[in-house]
Amino acid sequence: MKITSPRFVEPISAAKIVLFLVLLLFLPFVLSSPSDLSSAKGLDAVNGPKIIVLNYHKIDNMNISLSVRPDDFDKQMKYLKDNGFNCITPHDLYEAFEEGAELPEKPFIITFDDGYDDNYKNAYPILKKYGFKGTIFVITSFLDRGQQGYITWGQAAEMEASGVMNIESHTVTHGSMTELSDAEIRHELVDSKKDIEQRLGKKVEFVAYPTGTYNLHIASLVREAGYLGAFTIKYGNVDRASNIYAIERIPIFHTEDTYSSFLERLQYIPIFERLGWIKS
Amino acid sequence: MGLVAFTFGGAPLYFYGTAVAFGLIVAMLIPWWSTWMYDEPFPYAFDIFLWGIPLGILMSRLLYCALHYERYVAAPLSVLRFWEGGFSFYGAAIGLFVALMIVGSREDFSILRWLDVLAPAVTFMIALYAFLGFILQIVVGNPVLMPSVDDPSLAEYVEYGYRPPGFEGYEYFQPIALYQTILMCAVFLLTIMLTVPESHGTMFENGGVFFLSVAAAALVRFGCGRFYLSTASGLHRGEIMAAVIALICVAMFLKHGRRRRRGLWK
Repeated sequence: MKITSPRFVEPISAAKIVLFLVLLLFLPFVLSSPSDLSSAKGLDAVNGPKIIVLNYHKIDNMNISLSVRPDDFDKQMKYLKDNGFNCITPHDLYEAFEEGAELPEKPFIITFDDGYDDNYKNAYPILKKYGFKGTIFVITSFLDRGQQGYITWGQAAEMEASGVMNIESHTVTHGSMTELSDAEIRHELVDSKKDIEQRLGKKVEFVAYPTGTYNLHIASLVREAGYLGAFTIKYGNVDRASNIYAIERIPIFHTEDTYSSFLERLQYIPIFERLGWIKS
Repeated sequence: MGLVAFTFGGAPLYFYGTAVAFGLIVAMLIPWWSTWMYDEPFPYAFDIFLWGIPLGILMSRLLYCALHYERYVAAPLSVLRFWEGGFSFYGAAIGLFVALMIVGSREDFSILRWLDVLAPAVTFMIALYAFLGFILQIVVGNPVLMPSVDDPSLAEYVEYGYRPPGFEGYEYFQPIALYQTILMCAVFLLTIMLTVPESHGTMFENGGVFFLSVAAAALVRFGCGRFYLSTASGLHRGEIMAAVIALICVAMFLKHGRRRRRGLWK
């Protein structure tokens, strides 16, 4: 026989609803993790400061997703300036996480991949205007060797000397390193580094993996080649849980509303980070 | 990736707790529907949740500390440091059951019937817990060796700082928690499907839906647990508990929940 409950029941009081909401608001402060954090490696409750590494390619009016319009780029830099973000360099990131140096509040890094000539024509003046520094990862065989649309060594030297842009390696030919032999990988890493160092008279410390493809073996070859760190195209913030040879970045694309997309990407990094985990 | 979603006045708000809070809001809407289906008063469900939240937190923390007593016996006060993590889902379920008993004895209703009323919400929370295990990368499968772009199978990238001890050299792992989440969602949908006819009293006795659903969820947990990453052999504590719960629920279903032959009292 089934037993049913009495018909008349008092409605839910306002006090109970308030208590329920208070309990719900309490949960995010208390429930940190199902497993114990204190004994787990890397699972600090807060992994120190988060660094946002912005990843750009072209800054012009080409109307393709890889090409952010100069006025949109200017608007994004203005937002970062007005909202207290502090521009740092990859070397500052290395010193913070590997040598314990202090970081400013809301640190971020600006990077450009491939070394397009619009980086010099459009991005460089805008960065100068806001007092920011950027890093261009150049494909060394494309500079001054007949490839249209890329910066020249002269422009690279000028930007490096100004202190506004830092030139680092994006390998010799931009080949995907997971498709190459160890000897070919070493050539891409070592010769691009040597080329930039000889032409610009500076030490090359970082590389960005072409097409973002890498694995831990390639990362070990990057370390062997003398780099201090390497950037991927994996979406996320950088903190102490990050691998210095697999640094995450936030790609910024031209969209129907580039500025809104930029703000969403900045504000919802932890959520988008999780959506990027699955590889198929 | 970090465990902190936001900060408020310098105090961290954790992803896990935020997700559980949102999950409870959804879980509260489910009994709104199921009490309507069973023609039972929703305020009772609200009271059960109101008791269940603090009791669930307390019992989940106590059970976790009891199961890992070797970590807490040297510093007993660390049991109170909830923010350092360590909550047992089984403890939370015990807390909810205690809340049900408290409200049930006060309002004098059938516990078994109310287990059926709450069954969809319970299986929803089980599915949410499995999902959080995936999102927080707490549960992973065996490492996948250098997956190629031609390999169609799924693999989960685990950040360097969150890789299991001894597996720091591996980047990709089998996404067993994702598969478990999908299966638990199927259990939740099964519970919903059983609730519709059962609310008209046509299939089982009181408690039938609950015991069947929880037995299914426990079997999923047991089955998926076989694929969790582990260096130890044999059954693990979580698998043993899941197997015991499945057996208990099947036994309870056979004793209480199965539809008996129609007798004179019908």
